[in-house]
Amino acid sequence: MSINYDKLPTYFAATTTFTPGTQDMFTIYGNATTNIYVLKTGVSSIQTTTGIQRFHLKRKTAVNSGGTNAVVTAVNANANNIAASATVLQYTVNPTVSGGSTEILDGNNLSLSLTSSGASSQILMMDFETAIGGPLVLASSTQGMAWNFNGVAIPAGFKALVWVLWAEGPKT
Amino acid sequence: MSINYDKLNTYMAASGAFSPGAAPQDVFTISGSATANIYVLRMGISSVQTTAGINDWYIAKRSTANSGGVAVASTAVSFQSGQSDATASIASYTTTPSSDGSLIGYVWSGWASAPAPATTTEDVSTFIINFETAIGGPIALLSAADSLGFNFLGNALPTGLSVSAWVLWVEGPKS
Repeated sequence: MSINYDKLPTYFAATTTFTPGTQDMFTIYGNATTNIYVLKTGVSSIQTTTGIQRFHLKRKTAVNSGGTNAVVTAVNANANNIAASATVLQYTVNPTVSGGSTEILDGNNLSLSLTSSGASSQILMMDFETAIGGPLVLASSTQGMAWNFNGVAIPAGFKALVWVLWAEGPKT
Repeated sequence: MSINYDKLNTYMAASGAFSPGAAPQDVFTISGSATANIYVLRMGISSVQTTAGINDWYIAKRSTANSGGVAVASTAVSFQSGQSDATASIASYTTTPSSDGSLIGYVWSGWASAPAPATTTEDVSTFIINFETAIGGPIALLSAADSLGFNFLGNALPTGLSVSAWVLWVEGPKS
């Protein structure tokens, strides 16, 4: 079935500052009732001493469990649309069980993290929206997408901000 | 109802350089109206401060209006003369609202540098957040109570923080 993405309701979610664990730091998962189309997502960070960090973007094939997380509120782009059904979480302690994953970005993209020096800040953004064939699809509650630190020690003073934009449509 | 955004009237407004109030929440807002639906296409912000630093910024969506504080209105500029006047309201808060409107949530967050204008060797970063290309349409403000605004999350205001912000939007009939 061809999907008319332009007709789908759109949602946003953005974290406040948080210090993550070393694995999944931010996740969006699908659900049993709709398909989730991840359109764009971005991350930026600071740390005490200027450095370059490798952010990994992973496609999850199973759910996480444990750890310490908080729900990131989904904001409807249009209040006339139905409420979001995707689940968006930020992690401050690694999940004790990390669901299976495959890399979307395998450290090929670097984000310069900065001290409070006023040096130019950067946001690492991935745009799935314009991909031929459609954006990244989360077709069940066990399918997700995660920003991940890949086990690397968190630098001193590290604080992240992450956001995601997505659309939701009927199961196909 | 399907909306043909290409047929809607387009407007833009910019703040002058201004210093927000103490421990600010919303700093620069666009609010909807009773007579038209507002579709926010893009927003941008840049800042400088006395000692160079980096600040966390947010875009907050609210379902009720802020009250109190000192809000300086920005003029809405139509992209084409002869179009009807804008009905959205644009405000820069130089004194923090005494009461914040009901927060729905944050739609964007990011770290933004604020160089020191007197000594900087760094470029000033202007962050442009584009809602225009979102599948399903841009962010809609459906009533006068709805707003979208750059937000500082109540953090302490850095000395000398001076902000410039702008917004681009279209207006259409109530749907």
